[in-house]
Amino acid sequence: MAKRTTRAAGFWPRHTVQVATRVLPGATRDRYRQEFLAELYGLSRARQLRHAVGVLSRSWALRAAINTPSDAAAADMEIVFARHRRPLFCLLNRHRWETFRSEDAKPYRRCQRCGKDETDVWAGSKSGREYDPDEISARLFWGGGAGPGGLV
Amino acid sequence: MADQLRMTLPTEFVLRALLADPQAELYGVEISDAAGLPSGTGHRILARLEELRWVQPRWEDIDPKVEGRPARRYFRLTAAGAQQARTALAEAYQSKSKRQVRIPRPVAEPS
Repeated sequence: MAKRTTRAAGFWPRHTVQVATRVLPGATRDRYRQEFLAELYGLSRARQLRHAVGVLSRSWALRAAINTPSDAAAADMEIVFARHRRPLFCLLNRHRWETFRSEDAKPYRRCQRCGKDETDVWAGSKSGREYDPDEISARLFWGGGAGPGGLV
Repeated sequence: MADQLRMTLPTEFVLRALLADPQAELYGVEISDAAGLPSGTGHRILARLEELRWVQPRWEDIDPKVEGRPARRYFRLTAAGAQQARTALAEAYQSKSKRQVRIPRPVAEPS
């Protein structure tokens, strides 16, 4: 009896992977089923399930990638792959700001994760403080100009 | 072909992972891990790269009964694919560098 050296795939990950491959074209279905099943071996149970769910959730995108003819594959690559979802923290407006400098050496800030630029609310501040919630809300309310509180 | 390729971030990550050692053969999970992508994302990129003949897939040559697992499908960059990938990544990097240079936005003067 040969000794097993890798952790076997669990029932639910195997089942999930098999469901995921049902949407794939018939010519490639078996090939991907074998590939996905083989990848489950050796992973922890939790990782197996995560992997299987990930494969399932992206099976339609894989189908689209397989169905795209080779001459259009390069040109269409961005269309399929550009639907990269924004990170959760960015969706919750919790960006990871990083400071860059423009050509005229003025600093500006951009999110490392999603590439969003910081809004102009910060521009033109003379308070010397980088974050001043009162000033920001006042600027948003008064349209960035001078408000009644003598902000600018 | 490389001039037609509009590189996206996940594709860049996969190519960088493969270019780290062009001779190495990696399977799907290893590539996704090396690229820092969630499960399933790497496979569609690999399908595209395979279609473009940038990567060469190969079934692992093992006895499943001895190993206790099915054969994995390994991917390796082809010689032409590695060259095109380097070119495409360099172009993508240049494009990003250009975008980093921002046109300064006008700042409203206080009235």
